[in-house]
Amino acid sequence: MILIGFLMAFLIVTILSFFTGKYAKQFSLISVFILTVIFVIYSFSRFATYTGGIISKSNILLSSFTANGISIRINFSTGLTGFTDALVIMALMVTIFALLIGEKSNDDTFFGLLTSVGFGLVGLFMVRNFLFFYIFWEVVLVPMFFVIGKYGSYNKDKISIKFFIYTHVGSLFLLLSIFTLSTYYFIKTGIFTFQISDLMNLTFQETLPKSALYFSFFGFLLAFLIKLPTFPLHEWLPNAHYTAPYSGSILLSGGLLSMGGYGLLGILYPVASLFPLALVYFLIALGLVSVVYFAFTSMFQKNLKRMIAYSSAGEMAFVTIAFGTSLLSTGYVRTLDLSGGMYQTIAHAFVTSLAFSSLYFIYKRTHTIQVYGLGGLYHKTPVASSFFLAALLASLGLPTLAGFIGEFSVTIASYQSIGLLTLLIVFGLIVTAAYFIWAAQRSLFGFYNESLGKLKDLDRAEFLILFLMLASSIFIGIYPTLIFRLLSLYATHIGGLI
Amino acid sequence: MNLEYFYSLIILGLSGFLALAIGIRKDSKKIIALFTFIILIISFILIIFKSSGYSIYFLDFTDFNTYWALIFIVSSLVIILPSMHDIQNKHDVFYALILFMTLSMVIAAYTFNLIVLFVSFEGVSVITYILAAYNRTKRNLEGSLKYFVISTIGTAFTILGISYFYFATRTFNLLAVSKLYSNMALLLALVFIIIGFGFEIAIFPMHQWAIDTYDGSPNSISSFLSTGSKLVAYMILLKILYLGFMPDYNYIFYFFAALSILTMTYGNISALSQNNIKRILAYSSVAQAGNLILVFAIIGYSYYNAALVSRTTFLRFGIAIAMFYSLAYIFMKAGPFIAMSLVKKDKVMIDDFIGLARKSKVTAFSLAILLLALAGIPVTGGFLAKYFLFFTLIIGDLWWLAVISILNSVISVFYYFRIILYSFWKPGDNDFDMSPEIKYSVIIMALITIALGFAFTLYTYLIGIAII
Repeated sequence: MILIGFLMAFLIVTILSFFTGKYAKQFSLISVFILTVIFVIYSFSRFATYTGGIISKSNILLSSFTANGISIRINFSTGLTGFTDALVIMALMVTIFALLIGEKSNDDTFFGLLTSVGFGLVGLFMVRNFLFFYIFWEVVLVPMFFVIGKYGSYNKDKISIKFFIYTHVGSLFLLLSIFTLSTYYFIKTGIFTFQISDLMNLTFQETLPKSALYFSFFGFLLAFLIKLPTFPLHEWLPNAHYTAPYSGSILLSGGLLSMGGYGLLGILYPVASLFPLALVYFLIALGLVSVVYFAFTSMFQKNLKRMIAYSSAGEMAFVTIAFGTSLLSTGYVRTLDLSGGMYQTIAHAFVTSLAFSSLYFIYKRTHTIQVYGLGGLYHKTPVASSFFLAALLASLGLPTLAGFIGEFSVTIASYQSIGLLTLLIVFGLIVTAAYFIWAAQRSLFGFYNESLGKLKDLDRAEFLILFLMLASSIFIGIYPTLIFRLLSLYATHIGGLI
Repeated sequence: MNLEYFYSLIILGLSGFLALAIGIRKDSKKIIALFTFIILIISFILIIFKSSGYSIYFLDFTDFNTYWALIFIVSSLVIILPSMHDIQNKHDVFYALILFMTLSMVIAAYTFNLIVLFVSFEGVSVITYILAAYNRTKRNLEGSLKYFVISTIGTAFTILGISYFYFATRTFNLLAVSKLYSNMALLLALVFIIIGFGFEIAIFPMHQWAIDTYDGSPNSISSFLSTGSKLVAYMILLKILYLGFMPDYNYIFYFFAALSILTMTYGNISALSQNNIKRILAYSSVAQAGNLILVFAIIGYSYYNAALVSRTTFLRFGIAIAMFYSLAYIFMKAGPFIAMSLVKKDKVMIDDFIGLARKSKVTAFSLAILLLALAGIPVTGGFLAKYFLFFTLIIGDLWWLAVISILNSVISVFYYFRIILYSFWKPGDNDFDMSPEIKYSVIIMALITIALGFAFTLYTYLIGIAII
């Protein structure tokens, strides 16, 4: 019940923030911050004794009908697992980051839209019913479309529509999969329901005919892999990132990409043991190709924002690999693999937030983010450049920073199942490291590009924002147990989820 | 005779004449509009509270029929407020015609007799010919003449179809159809009836008039033509196909699966290249008709008993979705048409909406919500309608039809979002007519569309009353 109340409060905040005029930024920031504090306190109290599975479940029967051999139940139900708890906190934090970065000169609609993306994410991670899962899944897209389209820069009309349609196709196939499961559930039990716990149930899905089962897997995978995004389905991402304002980019990579990770590891995993072996290998191959492919594509980017966008897609490829390889392994290795994938989903959001925000502050001074347009920034703006450097190091997985834990766990765990193919991951990591260092060298060090004129370093507010992001990145990098404990407990019991 | 069931019909008929009488006074525009509004509300309430379980002569007061009667009254109600802005002369005649038309529609809703259905349908058609020519500009005379000629041809086909239908089943009463006397005649009847009503619903090969007429008529009339009068034809076709063809659904599935695919695809693809918004909306109304007639394909498919669930369950879901979709359709389709009055021009191009969001944020958001509903995006009535439509197709094991329909709804996102894009963030400015009648109608319709997005209970209730 507390979760439903929390969502209600968030909804009210979201609606109000559209009508706050001049105080839009302050209002949405403060209210989302208060909500975050409340949620963190709540989850500390509930998750201190967490042992796996779904806790704090609540369920409201919205509508039901029983007659003539038909029974329909439509519920609004919520619940938290170790994974979704961490995801909700992450979504709230990312929303705060995006709001912090938002230009004060934007109107209240802008901050309202950012808050509604946050609301959609939090709702998505909390609901345990497919009807509302789908609603939140789509609700996130609409404000994002507005953010890109209205406040974006280059070629925003085309790119915003392309972004929407690309992801909408995936969502609609997700819808068909949900219906397929619900139909067969009705045939088996005589009840139409959209409860995730009923439909994503191993014992139920084992009884499905193969064609229906594979059709539903196809829909789920298409939707989740587009969001993630994996190699052939990534076309929407770099353009959307390039056009979106920086706040939008933070929400895109921190929010929308982790929806894909949540879909794979949080929704699909409990039934993934029914995957045919060929599909598992195909997914692992997709993940490996993505790591290498995104590493090389971002190497060839001349624009720093596009570079970070591609590398963030490359980081999410670890989730696909973790998903695939954990299906091939058992016991402790599986837990490590899965928790690593989940950790990567969460850490990725923090790391890319830091990268985009520090890039934003650089852009505000230099008005260019082309690698060749910059140069020697470190001499003039040492603090901003250091933060950007830290973000790049975090992205390539330097120990003590957030990105390391997930990538490390996935790499060593997947060695157990795919053996020497992990060298491909390592190869991707090396390429990433190479181009990041190359990019840092070109833009931050070397001779100062005099055409940039006089630059001022970060002021106190900007420093605090970046410090907050870097601190959270370092914190979960050196004290991963806080989250990792929840994730591994969840991962251990993931098979018997009800 | 149980007279209290007829109160609403009597009130509607009498007040039509009363409206003409009030019109003798000068400057009576607001009074008549208010009067019509109140009468419609009263008949709505009377119908809600005196619903089911009575039948006399050719009228059957069942839950199913009552629901349709309510839908038709709502479809008249939504145009009262905007028409105060659109209609410049002869208000008394206009509102009297609306009341008479509502009477015809309500009678059509309450009957299962083919002759009565036909006569009341003609009542609606004849009145809409007059309405389409209202304001008498050159543009709308052309449109209304086209509408008149085409619709008359449609009527001829309908009569022919009905006579073949009698030849095949030896009855005009749809509830009494039980035995089949001639298979060939039934097939001919099906073809002619589809052509006849297909003109009014604007199914693919019979849609061309609709584009010109919707474009030319006053905005509130276009909104009625694309909702109310289309839904009357739709409901009549639903009754005929579901009940009249009960002994043999054999061809219905093939006809309507093909027709709905063609209609959706044609409507969506044609809308992509248009710049005139009323024509975009007209094509989108053709595309939505394709979604609506998918229900007939569902009915036809139930004949083969190939669905994953039992036949009656499948039929119930299908007919319930026809009812739910119609209700959501009224608001989400009439709303954008009415919003066209915001522009101070006869011919509304897409550029004319540039700067709407800067002028009035709430109106722009409301229009966006209505367009999102048409595209089937969540928290709107349009989403829930499409959600359960696809669900019904899936429980019928009609994957391929669902996939085609989904791909179509993806295409439709293009042109709906283009309008949103123009109204929100294209640089430039336009002068808008922010009359309260138009502004508040659009806002109210957007609010109702959102409310319908949470109307799960309505859908489950409709499943209960779906089978007659």
